[in-house]
Amino acid sequence: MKKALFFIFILLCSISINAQTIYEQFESRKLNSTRELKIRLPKDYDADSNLKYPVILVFDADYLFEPVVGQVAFQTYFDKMPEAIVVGVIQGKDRFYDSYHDEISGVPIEFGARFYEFISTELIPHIDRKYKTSKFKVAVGHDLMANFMNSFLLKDDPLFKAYVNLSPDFIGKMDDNIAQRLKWLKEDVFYYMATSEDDLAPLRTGILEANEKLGQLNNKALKYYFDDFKGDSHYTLVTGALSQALDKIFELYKPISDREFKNDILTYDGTLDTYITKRYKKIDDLFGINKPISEDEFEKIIKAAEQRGDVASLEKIGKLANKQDPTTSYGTYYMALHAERIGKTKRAKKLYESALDLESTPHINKDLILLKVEGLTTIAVDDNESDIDD
Amino acid sequence: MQKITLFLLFLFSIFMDAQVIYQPIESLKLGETRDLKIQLPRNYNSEDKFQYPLVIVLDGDYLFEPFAGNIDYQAYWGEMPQCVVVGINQGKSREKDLFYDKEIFFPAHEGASFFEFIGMELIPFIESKYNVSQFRIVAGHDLSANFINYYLFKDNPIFRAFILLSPDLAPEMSGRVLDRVTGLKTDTFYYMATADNDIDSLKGKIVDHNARLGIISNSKMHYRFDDFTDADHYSLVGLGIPKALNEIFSLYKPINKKEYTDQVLTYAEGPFKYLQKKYADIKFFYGFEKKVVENDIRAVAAAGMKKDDRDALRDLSKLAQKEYPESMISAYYTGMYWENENNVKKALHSYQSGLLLKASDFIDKEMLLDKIYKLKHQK
Repeated sequence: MKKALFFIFILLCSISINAQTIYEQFESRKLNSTRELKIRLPKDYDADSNLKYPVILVFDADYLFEPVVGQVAFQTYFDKMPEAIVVGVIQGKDRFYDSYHDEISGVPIEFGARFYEFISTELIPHIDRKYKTSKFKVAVGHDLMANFMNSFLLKDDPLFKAYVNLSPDFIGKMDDNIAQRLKWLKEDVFYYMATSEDDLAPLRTGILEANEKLGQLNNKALKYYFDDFKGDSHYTLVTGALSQALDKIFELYKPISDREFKNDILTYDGTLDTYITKRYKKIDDLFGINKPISEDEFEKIIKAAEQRGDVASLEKIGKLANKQDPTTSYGTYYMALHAERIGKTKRAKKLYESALDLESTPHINKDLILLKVEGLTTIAVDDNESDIDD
Repeated sequence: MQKITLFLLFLFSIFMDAQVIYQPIESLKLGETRDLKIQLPRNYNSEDKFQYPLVIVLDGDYLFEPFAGNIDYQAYWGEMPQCVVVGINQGKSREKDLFYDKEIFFPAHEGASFFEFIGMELIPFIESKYNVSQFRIVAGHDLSANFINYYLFKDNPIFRAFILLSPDLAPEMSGRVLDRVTGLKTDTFYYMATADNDIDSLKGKIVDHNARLGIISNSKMHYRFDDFTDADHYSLVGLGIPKALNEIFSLYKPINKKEYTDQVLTYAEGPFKYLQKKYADIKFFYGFEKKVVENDIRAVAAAGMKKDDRDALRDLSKLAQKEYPESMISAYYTGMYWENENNVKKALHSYQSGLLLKASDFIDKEMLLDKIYKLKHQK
């Protein structure tokens, strides 16, 4: 099954054109200077479509942009995360000033405060105006810039919903402030942090202390992940951590995994159409992405319904599928399956036959349906079912 | 200190990013045109004589980008050399390309053609266009990771390093690889990864393969295996790539604290000889020369001072002058040598002559002026 998916994806994706990086000069009033941006749009980005994309803002784009883009390309290829707009800020020799902070509170001051304003009042609004962006914004920072980006969390209604801290250099009380904030925060927030065995010693100490505080928090709105890599340094830990972070942040977006199938779906209290609807609603709420339920997902919940002998779900899933895609066959096919399972053979046969007139799909093709119809025709000979319910 | 590195490296990066070229190649073996993705090093200059390692990535449709991103990143920090990265798109032909005979389990039909395409067409093509060294790495995932094993079986394998990300191993593959690597005479890297949530049927074979490879005692075979937790057939790729690259280039890395304490300080013939040996090993191993990096000069200078090894400091000052004639590095380490020899006049002269040279990652005008000030007041 996984293999089949694998190849379908390869086929789907191989046609599309590869993305290129856009270099943009951005004139900032706040900074009173021009900053260089690197921007990577989704593969088939279309300014006229209604699709919206999450934004991943990468600090230190001089070196951090390319590995983020590489990881995003890989994960989106297998639909493990939505296509995203990656925006990198080149900081070069300005880095020292950009990250200028108060040693006690750890928050940006003076030039650092202006850089903060630049990001929140100039850059992000600019990207939102220029591209099709969703409200889901991710910040990626390494070292001092990771400390810097934490200050966005301290504001009401934080600009970023996900924070990827790669060996952060926590200054002063920053980690305490973050822990306090994350304890009560009501909006969903993802917080990822990584260090490594051979990380710079003072940074590692700070990160481990922060992990103590963050690991204890019991806030449902907070999704917290921590990695401590073996055998890696302050620098080599970065790419592995990026892949873990993006993998975890978009966990919910991914197709249903075997684990979810077993732990959540088979045991779900209610019909499975509700389960899947809620799941997609959550994706919309979190990432601002309205994606249709794929046929693969329908197939999975149908399989789950069959496994748990849940005929009610079969019918409801069928209705849901018909509502979403009235012209394709699978909705009607599921309805027929339901009729078959509850013993209404004639009705089932009729439904299968009407499914034949609809567009077939990768899973539900004409041959499969015909097979069903034939099977039912033989049974129907000694079937005493009436048509009362029709 | 590392922050300073960060700071200065920025100066070079703007608008000289690694470029990706999308290039079709006509193949007689395949009887068709194949799409390639090629990433050249940052600041790549074809006039330059430097030869870059070549990384061939199968399943380039999806595996090229994470490799390209990782290599650009790791090379930025000097953790590995810059490379020419070539991805082969296989989207439309994957099953045919990677086909092996179902009885003897060797590439057959289109699979055999694809095998020859890489060795006889693709690599010569890349060599004719770009400066690449003989040190070649090949990488694959799933079916393509199985396929790259076949290159091991040639008498002189064209690849020196093999990266197998969750390979879908063919029957008998494990035994054949085992037989082959036991007798390897060239240093060869073999990396393999799986994960706790990997596809069961693949994972079983990988774990068995690892059990057999793990006990090989051939010192030419450099083997590393990872079984990642909380990762699956796909997410293990992002974790495996940096592990593999860092393992392959472990010898190449700048001297770190551990190497300094365990090896530079304890090397019987002194720290400078250690440096020479390190760089000779790099050349021997990878087949290309590495320019001595400033980090390593600093490490050897520190060890030389600590052990009061006057020969090492003298040799090092000569090396600095040869490698970095236009940088403050040459002046600084020459000054340091004379200062240690208590020759204040020559030391002062060296430091002063550095003031007009180019600042480096670690040495700037301030540092030189500071030295000069101290020497003058000591007098």
